[in-house]
Formats: sequence, C-alpha cells, structure tokens
Amino acid sequence: MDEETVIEPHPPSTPDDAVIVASDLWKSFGPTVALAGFSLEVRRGEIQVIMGPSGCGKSVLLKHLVGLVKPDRGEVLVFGQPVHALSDHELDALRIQIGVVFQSAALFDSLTVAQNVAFPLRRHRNLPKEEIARRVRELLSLVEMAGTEDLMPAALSGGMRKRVGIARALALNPPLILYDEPTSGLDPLTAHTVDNLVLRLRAELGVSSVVVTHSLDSAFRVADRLAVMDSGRLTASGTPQEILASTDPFVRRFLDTRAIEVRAS
Amino acid sequence: MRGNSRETRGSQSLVAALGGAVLHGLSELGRAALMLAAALRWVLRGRLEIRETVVQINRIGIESVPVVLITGAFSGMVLAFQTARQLADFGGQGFVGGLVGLSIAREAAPVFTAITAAGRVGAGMAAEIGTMAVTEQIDALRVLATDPVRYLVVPRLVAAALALPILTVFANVVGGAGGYAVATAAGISGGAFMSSVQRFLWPYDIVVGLIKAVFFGLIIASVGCYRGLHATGGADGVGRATTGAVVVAIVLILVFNYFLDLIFF
Repeated sequence: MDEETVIEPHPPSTPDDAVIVASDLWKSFGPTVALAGFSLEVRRGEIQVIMGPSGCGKSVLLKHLVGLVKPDRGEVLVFGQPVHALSDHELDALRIQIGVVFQSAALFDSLTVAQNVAFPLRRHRNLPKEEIARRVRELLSLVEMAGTEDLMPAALSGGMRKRVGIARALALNPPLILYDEPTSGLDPLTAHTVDNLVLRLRAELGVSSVVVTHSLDSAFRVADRLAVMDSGRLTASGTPQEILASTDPFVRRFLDTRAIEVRAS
Repeated sequence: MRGNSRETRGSQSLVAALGGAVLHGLSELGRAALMLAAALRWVLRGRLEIRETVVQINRIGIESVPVVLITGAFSGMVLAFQTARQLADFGGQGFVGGLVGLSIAREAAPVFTAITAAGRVGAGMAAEIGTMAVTEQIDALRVLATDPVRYLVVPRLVAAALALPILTVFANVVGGAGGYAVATAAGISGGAFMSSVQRFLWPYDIVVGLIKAVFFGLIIASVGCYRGLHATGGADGVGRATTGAVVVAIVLILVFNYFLDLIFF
C-alpha cells in the first residue's frame, strides 16, 4: 500500500542499556532559554520521571526526543540513533518505535475514537479491517474506554480523551513511550488508573517510559528514576529515595512546597 | 533612562520596522515556498491521500455550489444590466451578448468564484488546520510518522485545483443565463444576444478562465493551509490565521489575475 506501511521497527540496538542519551542540550526560543546544557540517560525497561515547575523546559525536552524540535547545540540519541541528524524518512522510522502521549491528548477532532486509535495501524500496518477493529477494541479496553468507539473526541471528558490518547500511542506496540503530563487535569481516581497503566506496561511488556509531570504523587508512584529540572538544567537525578534525601536547595524547596500543598488540600 | 532609550529607539524604529517587515515577509515567502515544494514532491511521487482528497473535493466543490450559483447569476445579471443600458445609448445592442459573455468567461466567473471560495473554503482550511496546530494535533501527526503536508496540504491543494474550474463552469452557465434574462428584459432580443455571444466569445476565452481558476484554487488552498500550519497562541491565533488567509488570498487572486491576463490575452 504505502511506503510507510512496510517500515517495521528495527530492533533497538545500543551498546549499553540506554534507550535515550541526551547530552548537553541547548535550546532557545528568541530570548527565552528553554534548555541550558541538559543531559540525561534513560535505561531500557525503566520508568524515568522528569519533574520540575511549569516552564522549566520539560515539554521542550520531550519534543527533542521525537525530533519535533532540533537542539541549538548538543545531541539526542534514541535507540542509538541521533534524532537531531536523521533524514525525514529515518525520523519517521524511528518515530514508529516511540509512543507519545500529549498533554492535551491531541486527538484528531475530525475522527471518531476508533478512527483515532486505528490511525497509526492504518498508516503503518498492512492489516485487514477486522484485525484493526479487534486491536482497537483491545486497546480501548486496556485503557478502560471500551464501548466508546463511535464517539467523537468533543463528546469526551478530559480524562477520557487522555486515555484514548494513550491507547493511540500504544497502537504500534512501541518499546518506548513518552508521556507529557499524563495525569494533569485528571481527578485523583483517573490519575491513579493512568499511573497503574504506566506501571503495567513496564511490568507486562517491558516498555521504557519517560514521564514528564509536576504531580509529586504521580512521580513517586511510578518512578524507577527521578530527575528534577529547573530552568532548562538537570538539578538532581536518582532513585526516588535518593531524590527524597537530596540536600539540593531547589529540590528541597520543590518537594516541600508540594508536600504542603498536598496536605493543605 | 526610559526617555533616553525611547529616543534612541525612535531614531532607529522606522528603519528597524521596515527591515523587520521585509525580513518577516521574505521568511514567510520562503517557508510557504518550502511547503509548496514538499507538496509538489508528494504529488510527483504519486502519493495522494485519496480518501482525504475526496472529502476535500466534497467540502470545497459540492458544498460551495449554492453560493457560487448565486454570485455567478447576479454578476451575469449586473453585467447585462449595465452594458445593455450603456450600449443602448449608442445603438450598440448587438454587442451586449458578446460583452457579457466575454466578461463572464474571462473575468467575472473565475474571479468572483475564487473570491467566494477564499471566504468560504480558504477561511475554513486556515481555521481547521490552525486549530489542529494549536492543540498539538499537527505534532501528533508528525510523531505518528505522518507528514502534515502530505496528509493535510496535498489533498486540499489537489481538491481546490480541481474544484475551482468546475465551480467556474457553473458560474459561467448561470452567469450567462442571468445575463440573457436581464438583457432580454431590457429589450434586446434573445436571438441578437445569442448571435453576439457566438461572434465574440471563443472557446479560448472559456478555457483561459478555467486555467485561471486552477491557479486561484492553488492560491486559496496554499494560503489557507500555510496560515493554518503556522497558527500559534490558541483561539486568538486561529482567528488571526483565518482572517489573514482570506485577505492574503483575495489580494493574491486579484494580483495574479492581472498577470495571468497579461500572459493569456
């Protein structure tokens, strides 16, 4: 059918166990510096959470990982491939191996829920209609959205949209998933469901994940490793225990204010 | 301090503003040219999104028919009304049919159809694609390894290039009929009107009108898509993209119309 349909994800190959290596990333938008020498390694099969205040460069970092934004300086390797230096065709082949869950879900408004979830399958897998329908049902029940196939995105609540967005991101069984604020704007119960889903995908399918969030609750629930970002830089990185024990003043302030907020509410 | 900086700025502001505007215009032109080049590559490689193209032909072509019929009929009627009155004073009734037919085929039908379509279709494209841009749907397309130019722009360009000449044919027919009705009501005999049309109106005139319509369709779709793809900043940005698309498309239609006339007539 299409050129893209024959692209099969080649097996990720990196010498060590890093699926993502970002080194010394710099990015400015006009006078605003979004990334100022950011470096991070994400290991295979781990859930790497990146926390930080709004505007610290978290979302811009995610966009670098899928080649939506190119760095002014520095490099990003994903599955050993230099994202910033790939041709359009190579970039598409890489993107098929990465699921992205957008902050706003980014469902296509003109398509139904089922068509949204089927979109990557239709474009990149040469499957019969019934097989696609079966896979869509399976994905929707995975995110507890079974039976919503024929609804338009406009008819869904924020939490439902987000879950459909996750189902679409999972459609091609990507070995790496990037979540941009997956639980922001969700009620605590739905947020919990999403967190559990992130954990399940790691446990059952060995998926590597990068979760960008400013929800401490969510961060500590899912993280294998935590990174704290401030003004485009990595302030601290380590296991959740190491972060909790950090003496870095910014990390302390970030953790403390949030703890008070949680207690107050 | 503030006053000082304002004075310094005052002396430079005119040059800076002029230079800024020129640079901005050139960079917009460059980016639009890149978009069109990418679209052309997809077309030349024969990679058309058939389903999307059919949807767009329906939206641009079929849904525009009623409004094109109305504008077409009334422009034919007003042309006949004016020419019949003016020429009657000089005994030139024999020229009314030819003048009306020529004006419709060469100018009124293609140009008025294009302007109507710019308002209806160009604005719709900018609004739809602009909304997709500000709600991360364009980014979602990219990370799903789908080039927005191929998926969104090419179908609209092809559909507009096909639909505009067909709409212009409708405008020619109803414009001619409207002109005939008004001219005969003003006392010119039907036979005189028709023989005048036959004498002055050549197939070449009609064909050139349709060729111009193809160009106008390409202008409308490329301006609408370009403005939409580069919309930023939420609903306000989509609004600006939409009005901008209509204004720029109409200006370009009229400018191109003049130069196409120089080439063809």
